[in-house]
This record gives sequence, structure tokens and C-alpha cells, in this order.
Amino acid sequence: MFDLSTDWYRGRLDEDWDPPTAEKTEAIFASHGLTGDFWRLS
Amino acid sequence: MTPFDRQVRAQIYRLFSGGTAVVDEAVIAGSRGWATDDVEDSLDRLAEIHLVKLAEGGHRVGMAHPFSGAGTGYRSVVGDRSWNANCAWDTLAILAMMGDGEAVAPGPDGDVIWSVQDGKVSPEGVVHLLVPARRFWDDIEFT
Repeated sequence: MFDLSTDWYRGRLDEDWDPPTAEKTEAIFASHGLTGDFWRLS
Repeated sequence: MTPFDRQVRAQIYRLFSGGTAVVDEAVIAGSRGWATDDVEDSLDRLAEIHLVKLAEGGHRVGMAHPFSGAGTGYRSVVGDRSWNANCAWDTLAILAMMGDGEAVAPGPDGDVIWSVQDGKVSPEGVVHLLVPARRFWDDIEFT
């Protein structure tokens, strides 16, 4: 969860941060083994 | 986001990460010399796209993930600094942003404390999420 948080919140303090798309967020989840319907956004 | 909304969002995070506990339209506006009405409008837009959660009945920022604008019992501690978090996940997320320290969660028998050092969390634990990801914002406070 710490590693997930590091990836998901990277850049959040920056003014030029943009929220990730649903697809990007799902990719972040998947990169940490979080797959399946529970973690789908689209 | 409009350019101004982008600035307001960043200022919210600057305030929370800098240790401001209560972030509302007056605090945001005063910190940058902006008009309060403009900040309120921006907060409404940011809330609409789920970048903040406003507290009921006003423009106080209740949530700017992972920071909480309220005392929840969940908090992150780095040295002599601490921040309110929304949940266990967010306690770790704040430490990922702010540095090594302790993630504190309320438990039935007192606080549960994890230590984060060099990217490693100890002791190991389990975080249980009840709400599927696509429904996080149906009721983000419940989530």
C-alpha cells in the first residue's frame, strides 16, 4: 500500500499535476497487483 | 481545470502539507491575496470533479486526498510535524509525500501505529477496503 501510495500520489503537490485518467489509474493499480473487477474504474 | 483552479488546488495542498489544519475559502484567499468569491467558485469546480471534498454547508476543505481537513483519528507523523489523514491508506500516502515517520490509525484497543523507514512499512498489516474503486466517490467519506 505504501508503494501504491507513492505511485498514485506522485506529483500531487505540484501545480502542474493533472488527475490521472481512469485508464492510467487502473494501470497503477495493476502494477501493484490490484486487478479484477474491484479495481476497475471503466 | 482552469489555470486559476490549478493554482487553488496547488495552494490547498501547499497549506495542508505546510501544516495548516483548517483550509477554507478565507484561508486560501488570504494566503495568496485572491478574492474570496473567486476561491469559492474554484472550490465548487474542484469539488465537482472530485479533486476536493468540501465540508457540508460551506467551503471548508474536508478532504484533499490524502490530507483531511478534520480530525479523524488517522494521522501521519514526521518528527514534530503531523497531518490529519482520511483513512489508513492516506496515513501511508502522506508519509510517501512527506517523509519517513509514523502512520497512526485508531483501533479498538488504542492507536495502531506503523513505522515507515526508507520505504518499508512495519509491522505488516492488512488494509480492508469495502467499496470498489469505481464507487469510491459515491460517498467518499464512507469510503
